[in-house]
Amino acid sequence: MKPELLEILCCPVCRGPLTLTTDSTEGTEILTGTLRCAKCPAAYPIEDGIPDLLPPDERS
Amino acid sequence: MGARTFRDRPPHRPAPPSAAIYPPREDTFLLLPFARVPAGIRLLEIGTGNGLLALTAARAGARVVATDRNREALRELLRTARAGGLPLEVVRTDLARGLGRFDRILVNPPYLPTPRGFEDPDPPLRWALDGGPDGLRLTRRLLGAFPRHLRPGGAAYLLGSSLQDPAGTARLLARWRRAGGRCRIVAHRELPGERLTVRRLDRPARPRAGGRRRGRSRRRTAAPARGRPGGPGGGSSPGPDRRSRRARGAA
Repeated sequence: MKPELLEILCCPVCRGPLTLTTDSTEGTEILTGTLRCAKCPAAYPIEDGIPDLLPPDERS
Repeated sequence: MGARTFRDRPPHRPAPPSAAIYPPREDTFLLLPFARVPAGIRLLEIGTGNGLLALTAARAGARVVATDRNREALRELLRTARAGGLPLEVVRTDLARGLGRFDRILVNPPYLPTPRGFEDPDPPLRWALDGGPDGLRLTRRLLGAFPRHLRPGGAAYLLGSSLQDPAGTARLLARWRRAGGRCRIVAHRELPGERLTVRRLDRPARPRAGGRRRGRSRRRTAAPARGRPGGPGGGSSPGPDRRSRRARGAA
């Protein structure tokens, strides 16, 4: 994902803003990382450049 | 995948060779003209699957976000988009959860009525095809979600089928209008035993206000969409593998 995508993402649980932690990038592309909600404890992985906002039990 | 069985699947929707990504079909093509959008608009495709609509919009210059539950489908789409340098992002989520507002939303939801007990055990196939007992399971949820994801002046283009419960469809649309939204058929296509429609749903001017802009709906004789839905070959001749619904009706 490109960092700009963050502008239109929010926490699917509480709609709070998400903060981005980047683990690996390729050019401007974020390949792996974590999106954390600033308002609730929820966190969502980014893998292969794809943010996964499914609830944890539906991610497999 | 050789092991997959389609005991209750219509023959025109066989399993794709891998990852169960729904290939473009008549319903996809009926939506295609609405993916050709002005450059710069923000477009969301919910349940993008093969990604044809999202890619078409991105090639037109829209800033596109495509969602799906199918990770393989999203990987493939992202690869294609990046290879073409297209302004497209993908998000794995349930419908549009966790996403903001867009100028246009495109959705070809699963709409095949699927009796309880006949759900496909394979999640990607279920996600792509299974509309619940009345065919409206996802459509119902989408109509609830659209107001949260449309900008003022925005519209959603939603594919529907006469296979979905007609009374249920009418109830859902009546509710949309009562909330102040507009709804009209902007494209349709007759197939053997089925009528496909694309409805344009305009965001309620003031969500929850209710009552505004009523009465201008239900135009069953809407003009055909711009362009020719139907893709190569166009016209009204159904694809060779399309719809023998009677077999399914007996299931």
